Amino acid sequence: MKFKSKYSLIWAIPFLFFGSSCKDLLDPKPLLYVAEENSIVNKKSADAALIGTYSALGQNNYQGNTFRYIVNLADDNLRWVGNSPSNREFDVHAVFATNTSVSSLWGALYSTINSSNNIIQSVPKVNDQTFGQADRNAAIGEAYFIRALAYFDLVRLWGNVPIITESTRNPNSADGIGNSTPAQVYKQVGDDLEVAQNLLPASPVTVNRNRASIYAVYALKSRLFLYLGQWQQALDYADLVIKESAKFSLVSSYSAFFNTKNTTESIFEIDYTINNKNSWAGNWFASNLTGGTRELLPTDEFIALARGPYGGDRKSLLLDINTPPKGIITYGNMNFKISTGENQVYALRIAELYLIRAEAKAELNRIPEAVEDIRIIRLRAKAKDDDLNGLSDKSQVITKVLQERRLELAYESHRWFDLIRRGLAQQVLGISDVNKLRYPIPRQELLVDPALKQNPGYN
Amino acid sequence: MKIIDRAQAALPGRRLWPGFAFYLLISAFFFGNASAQETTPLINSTLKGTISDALTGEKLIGASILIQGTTHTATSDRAGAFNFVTGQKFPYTLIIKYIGYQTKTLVVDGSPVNVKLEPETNQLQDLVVVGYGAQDRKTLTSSVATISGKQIEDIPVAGVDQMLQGQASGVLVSSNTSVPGSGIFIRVRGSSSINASNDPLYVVDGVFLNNRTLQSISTGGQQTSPIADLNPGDVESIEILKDANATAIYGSRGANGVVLITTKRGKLNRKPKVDIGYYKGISKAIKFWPTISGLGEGILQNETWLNDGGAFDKRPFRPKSEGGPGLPEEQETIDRVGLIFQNAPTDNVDVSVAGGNEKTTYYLGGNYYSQDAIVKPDRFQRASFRVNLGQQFNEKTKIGVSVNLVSTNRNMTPNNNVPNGTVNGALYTPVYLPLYNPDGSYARPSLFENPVAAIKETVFTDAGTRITSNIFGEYKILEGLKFRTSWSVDFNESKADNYFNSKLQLGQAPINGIGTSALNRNATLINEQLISYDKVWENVHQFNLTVGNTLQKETFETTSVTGTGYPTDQFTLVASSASQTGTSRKSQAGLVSFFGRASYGYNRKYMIDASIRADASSRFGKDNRWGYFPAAGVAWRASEEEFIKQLNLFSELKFNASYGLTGNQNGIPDFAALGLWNGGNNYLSTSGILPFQLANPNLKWETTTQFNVGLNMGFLKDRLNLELNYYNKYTTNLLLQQPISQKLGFASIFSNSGEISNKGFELSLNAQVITHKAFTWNARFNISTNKNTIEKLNTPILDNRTIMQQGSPLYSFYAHKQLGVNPANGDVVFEDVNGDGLLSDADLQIVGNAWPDFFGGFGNEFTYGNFDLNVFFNYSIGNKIWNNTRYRMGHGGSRNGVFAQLEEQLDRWQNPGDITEVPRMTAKGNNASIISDRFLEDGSYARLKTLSLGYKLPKALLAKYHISNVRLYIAATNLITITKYKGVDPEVNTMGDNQNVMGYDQAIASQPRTFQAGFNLSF
Repeated sequence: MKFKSKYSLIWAIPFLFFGSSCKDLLDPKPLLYVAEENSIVNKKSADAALIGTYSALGQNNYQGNTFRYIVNLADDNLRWVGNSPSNREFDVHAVFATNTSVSSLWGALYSTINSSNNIIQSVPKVNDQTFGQADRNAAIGEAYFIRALAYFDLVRLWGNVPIITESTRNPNSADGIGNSTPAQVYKQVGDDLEVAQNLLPASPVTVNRNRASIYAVYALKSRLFLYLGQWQQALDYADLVIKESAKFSLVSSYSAFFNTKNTTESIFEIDYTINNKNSWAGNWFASNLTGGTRELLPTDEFIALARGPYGGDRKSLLLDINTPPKGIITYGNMNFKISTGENQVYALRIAELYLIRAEAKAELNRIPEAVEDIRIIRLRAKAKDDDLNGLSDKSQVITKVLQERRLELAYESHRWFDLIRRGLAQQVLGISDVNKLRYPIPRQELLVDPALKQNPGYN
Repeated sequence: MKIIDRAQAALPGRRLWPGFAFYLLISAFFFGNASAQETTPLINSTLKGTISDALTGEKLIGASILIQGTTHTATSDRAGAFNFVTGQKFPYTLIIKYIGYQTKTLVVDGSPVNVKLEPETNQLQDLVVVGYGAQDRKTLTSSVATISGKQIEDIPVAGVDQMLQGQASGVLVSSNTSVPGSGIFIRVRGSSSINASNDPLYVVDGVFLNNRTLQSISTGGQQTSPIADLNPGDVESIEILKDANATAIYGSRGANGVVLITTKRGKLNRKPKVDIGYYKGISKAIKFWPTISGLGEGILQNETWLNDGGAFDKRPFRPKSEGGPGLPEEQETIDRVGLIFQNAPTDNVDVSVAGGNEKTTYYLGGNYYSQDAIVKPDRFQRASFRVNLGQQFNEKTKIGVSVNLVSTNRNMTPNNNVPNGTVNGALYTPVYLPLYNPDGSYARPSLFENPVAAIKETVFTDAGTRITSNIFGEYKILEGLKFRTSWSVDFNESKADNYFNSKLQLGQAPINGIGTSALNRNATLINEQLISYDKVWENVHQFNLTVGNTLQKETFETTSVTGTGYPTDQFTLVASSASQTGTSRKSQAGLVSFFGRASYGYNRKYMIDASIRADASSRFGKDNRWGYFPAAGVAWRASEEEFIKQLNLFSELKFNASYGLTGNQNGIPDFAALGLWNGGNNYLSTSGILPFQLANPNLKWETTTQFNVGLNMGFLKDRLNLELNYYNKYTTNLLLQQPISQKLGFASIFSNSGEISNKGFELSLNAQVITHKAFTWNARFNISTNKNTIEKLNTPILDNRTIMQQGSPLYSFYAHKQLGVNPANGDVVFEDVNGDGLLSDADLQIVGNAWPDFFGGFGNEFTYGNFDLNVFFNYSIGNKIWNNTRYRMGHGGSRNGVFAQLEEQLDRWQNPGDITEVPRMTAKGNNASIISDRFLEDGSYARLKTLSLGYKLPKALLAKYHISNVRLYIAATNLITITKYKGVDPEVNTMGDNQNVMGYDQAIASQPRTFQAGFNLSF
C-alpha cells in the first residue's frame, strides 16, 4: 500500500543510522592506551617498557621527591617548616599509618617493582628477530637492578615487606603473599643484583650514567654488604668501581659535580629533564614550577657543621635567602638554585664508595687506609684534615666516617639509615620507641590485604 | 511484514537485537492499526458556522471541524468560517480542534453555529513534564517536583542548579564556594554511588545537557559549572523526577534523579510579547575570619618559646635593642583579609520576544549576566542567545528547532586550597609580617602568596563557548499516534589561559613567568526516535504508550601547552616563552538505548503504568553491555470515590506507589573495564610505557532499586495541598574504585562491589493562606530527611578526613576524639579507643557526618494591591562540618611565624589547673597536628535566602504607552543566617572536585550577601 510505504521511509531513518553508527558507538578505541596483551611485544615496546620503568623509579612519589622528603626529614640535618601537618610526623618521629606520603611511597615502590617484573617476565618471550640475546640480557639486567634498588629501599624503610616477583595480571595474583623478614628481603636484593651482574655487559666501553650498568650493580652491592656488615665484600665491590678510574673519579671541584650533569663522579644518576621533572626543589624554595612550598630547612646543627672547619666547600651547599624574611638559610645553592625541576638524583656516586671503603677498612682494622679514604674526600672539599691525623682507634675512625658521610652525602638520603644501622638513631634523634625506626605499613594496605601484618609498635 | 525483513538486513550486530526486536514489534503493531481506515461519503445535510476565540472574539483561522463517528472534516477559512456538506443527518456531534485551544465537542441541530474556543492555558496548568512526555499532575503515579520559572526569577546567581536550593523536597543543594559560575553540590534523594556520578541528569527540552566540567587547570578544588551556561531567564519550568517510576525511562542515567528544564516557547496566534528584565546587585561577604592581632601573635610566640624551655633573653619578640623585632605590643597588625574582598557588582539583562501566527511559533531570548566574586578578582560573565522555533506544516506535521548559543568568560585565580591562592595568602600569613619589602616589591614572608600580587598580577581567564542545538520533526500518523525524531548536538568548549609573571610566587625568578593555555572540548551527539500513542475511550479509559530509542556519542578532548621563561612581564602568551611543554588527549563513549512506557488510567481514579529502558554502554565489556531498567507505579485517587466525596473534606486525596530499577555508569572512566598500559612515562627525553590499570572484564552496571509511596492531599478546593513521600533506594553492584593491595603495583581496580541505601521522608506543603482580592498570601514549605548508609563495602576507604566503611554513611568524618586538655600539663588528651595506652590510627573513629538530619525551604509570597513581597528561607539541620581552617590555624605554636592563628587560640592552656579545650603553646610534640574532633562542628543553619519587594505600576498608567506590565523590585539574598558554626559560612565545601567529600571547609570565603534592584517590563 502507498500509505504504508511512504511512512516506512521515515521509519527507516533510525535503522539506517543504526547500521552505520552502532559499532562505532559501542566500541570506541582507547586512543591513549594499549591493551595489556599488546604492551611488550617486540624490541621497540620492550625498550619503551624499560624507559617506563626508569620513569617509575624517578617518579615524584619515589626518588623524585617523596622518598627523599621522608628519609632526609627523618634525620638530624633537616627541620620541617611546612604547610601540610602530616609531613611534620617524620620530623617528630610520630608517623601514623594513615600518613599519605608513606602510602604514596609504598605504592610507587611496588609499581616500580611491577614494571620491572613485567620486563623480566616478558622480554624472554618476545618474538622479534631483531631483538638479540645481548640486548635482551641487558634489558632484563637493568630491570633486576631497578627491582633490587626498590626492595633495598623497602627493607630499609619498613623492614618486613612482601616480596613480589611475578608481574600482576589480575587482582588476585599475589593473594596470600605476606610479610617477609628483613633478612629475606636483603637476600632478594642480593639475588637480584647477582642476576643483574651476570646479565649486564661485563666491561662496557662507555657508561651511560643515567642507566644501570655493571658498575651500578657493584656499587649497590657494596652498599648492601655495608648494611649487612659484610665488610670484606663491601670493600671488594667498592674497589671494583674505584679502580675504574678512567670512568669514575672524584671531580676536582666539589661544586662541579652539582653544576654539571653526568660527571665522572656519578655511577648512577637519575635524570630529569623538562619532559620529566621532579618537585624536590619546591620543598626548599618558596618558588618552583610545581608551586614551591618551602617546607624544609637545614638544622642549625648542620649549618654549623657545614660552615665549620671540616665543611670546606660543602658550605656552599647552603644558601642565604636575601629577600625578606631575612635570616633564612636553605640548601641547594649549587644544584637546584637554577632549577626548573630538572635537577638530578645522585643515586650512587663514587664519593660514597670511598666512604664505604673507609668504614669497611676501619671495621677490618685497616685504620691508616681507612683514614686515607676519608682524607681523599675531605681534601677534595678543600676542608681541614688536621683532625684525622694520628687516629688509631677503630670507633674514632668510624665516627669520623659517619660525620663525613653526613656532610659529603648531605640530603642524599643516607643519614637516617646510617644512624639506624649504626644503632645511633634513638640516641642522636631522641627517639624513645625503637619501633619508630621503621615506618608503618599503610593502613589502607592492612584493610585490603589479610596476608599483611603491621610492623610492631603501630596499629 | 516486509518492513521487518528490511530492518533485519540493516541490523548492526547481535548485541542490539533484544531492544531492537522490542522496538520493531511495537512499530509493527502501529502499522497494522494505521492501515485499517475506511471512508464512505454521502450527502444529507449542510452546516455553516464560525470559530472564534472565547476571550478575545478573534476569528480563528485553520481550526479543524470533525463530525464525530466519521472522517469528514472541514477547516475554518480566513474569516474563521467553515462550510460542511455531509452525509450525516442532524443532530450530530462536532469536534472542533485548534492548536493552542481546548478541543470542543458540541451537538448541533441546525445551521449556522458559532463556536467559541477556550485557550488551552487553563488546562495546561496542571500538566507536568515527565520523561518523554507530559502528564496530568492529578494522575501521576510517581514523585515529581515542579518549580516554576517565576519562583526563581529574582535569585541573583549564575546557575539554575543553585536556584533550586530549598525549593523542592528531597533535593539537597549547597554552594561549594562564593565564586560565581562554579560547581554546586546537588543530590536528589541522597548519594547512591562512590565512584560513578551522583549528579542528577539534566534534560533541557528533551535534550541531555552535558554537565561535565571543562576546567583543566586547577584552581584548588573548585570546578567551573557547565550548568551555569544555561540562562535562567529562558526557563519556563523545572521538573525534578525523583522516584524510579519517573526516572527509569532514562534508564542508566536516571539513578540520581532527573532535572527536566523546559524553556520558554511562543504560542500560536499570539501577538509578539516583549519582556525586558534588568537588575543590578551588590554583594559583600557575610563574615570574616577572626585572625589574631600582631600583639596576640607576639604573646603566643613568646609563650611557645618559653614553654619549650627557650631562654627569656632570646624570646622571638624581644626589644629591638636586644636584637629582636620588638615587643609584642610593638607589632603591627596588617589586615590582609580586608584587602582581598570587594563590594562585588552583579548585572543581569534579559530581553525576550515570543509569539506566533497560525503556523509558526517563536521565542527569542537574549541574556547578559555579569557577576563579580566578593573575593577579587574572580568574575563570571555570560552572554547567551536562544531561539526556539516551531513550524506547523499541516495538521499532521510539525518541526521545531532550538538553538542556544552561549559565551562565557571567567576571570579566575587559584583561590581556594592552594598556597599560591588569594585567600590562603590573605588568611594564613601572620598579620605582623610586612606586605611589601622595603624596595616596594611584594613581600612573601611566609609560605603563601602575597594577596595583593595574587589579585593584581595573576592573569587567568576561561572563555567558554557552548552551542546546544536540537531539531525535531513530529508526525501525527493517526489521531493520538505520533512519531517524533530528534537530532541534537551539545558542543561545549573552553579555552583557559593563565599567566603567572615574575612578580608572583609561581613565576618568580628563576622561573621568570609561567603560563598555560588549554583548550577543552566536549561534543555530545544525540539521535532519538519516539512513538507515542494516546487514547481515551468513552471518557473513562485513558491509555498511553510510548516507545523510542536513543543513540548517543560523547567525545572529550583536551590540548594544553605550558611555557616558562618569559622575556619580560609584558609578554603573557606561551609563544613568547623560552621553553614549552604540551599535551593532548581524547576519549570517547557511546550509549545505545531503547525504551518504552505504557500507562492506563480508569476514570482518572485508578492509574497504573510501567516502563522499561534497555541501555548499552561502551564502558562495559561485550558480555555486560546491556542493562535493563524496568519500573512500575500505581495510583488511586480516593477523592474520586463517592465515600470520600461524602466526607466533604478532601478536594484531592491520592495514594501512589512505585517500584523500579535505574542504572548508573556516568562518571567512570571511558575504558574502566580494560587492562591497559599508557605512554608518556618519560625518561631521558624518551617516552616509555607503564602498566596503567588492571582489566575487569566483568564490570557492569551499577543498579539502584527504588521504592516510593506517596500521599497527596488537597483541602478547601486545593487551597491547601500536602504531599508526603517515603522512599527507599538501594544501590547494588556499586561501581567502585576498589582499593587493592598496592603490593600488586596498582592501587585500585574498577569493580562492582558494595551497596548503599538511601531512605527518606519528604513533605511539602502549599497553601493559599489568604486569597482576598486586595491581599494574598501563598506559603510553601518543604522538609526532607535522607538516611544514607553504606550497606556493604569489602574494605574501608580513607579519603582526606573521611572514611567510607560498611554500616556508616558516606561523608563520615574520621578523627581522634578529644576528651579535653590535661589541666596539669596542657597536653591534649585523646580517647584511647583500643585501650593499648598508645595513640595510634586504631584510635581513630567516626565522629560525625556531613548529612543534615533535615533540610528544606520555606517560602512566602504576599501581594497587596500592586505590591508583592517574597520571603524565602532555606535550612539544614544536623550536618557536621570539618573546619580545616581552624585546624590548620590552630597549630598551637608548631608553625609559629608561618601560619597565622585565630583569636580562639588565646584560650589556650597556660597554667596548671586551667580548664580549656585549647592545648598549651608548644612547637614540640603532636598536640596540634593530630586530627582532633575539636574542629568538627555543627553546621546547622537557617538562612533568609531571598527577600524581595516588588511594585507593579498601575495598568491604567501604562496603557498609554502600550506597555502591559512594569514591575520594580528590590531584593536581598543571604540577609540573615542563624548558625552556631564558627567558620565564616556553614554553606561550604572546599573539595568541590571530590564527590566523596562534603562539608569540608578550608579557606573559603562566605556566600555573598547581595542587595539588588531591578525591573521587569512587558509590552
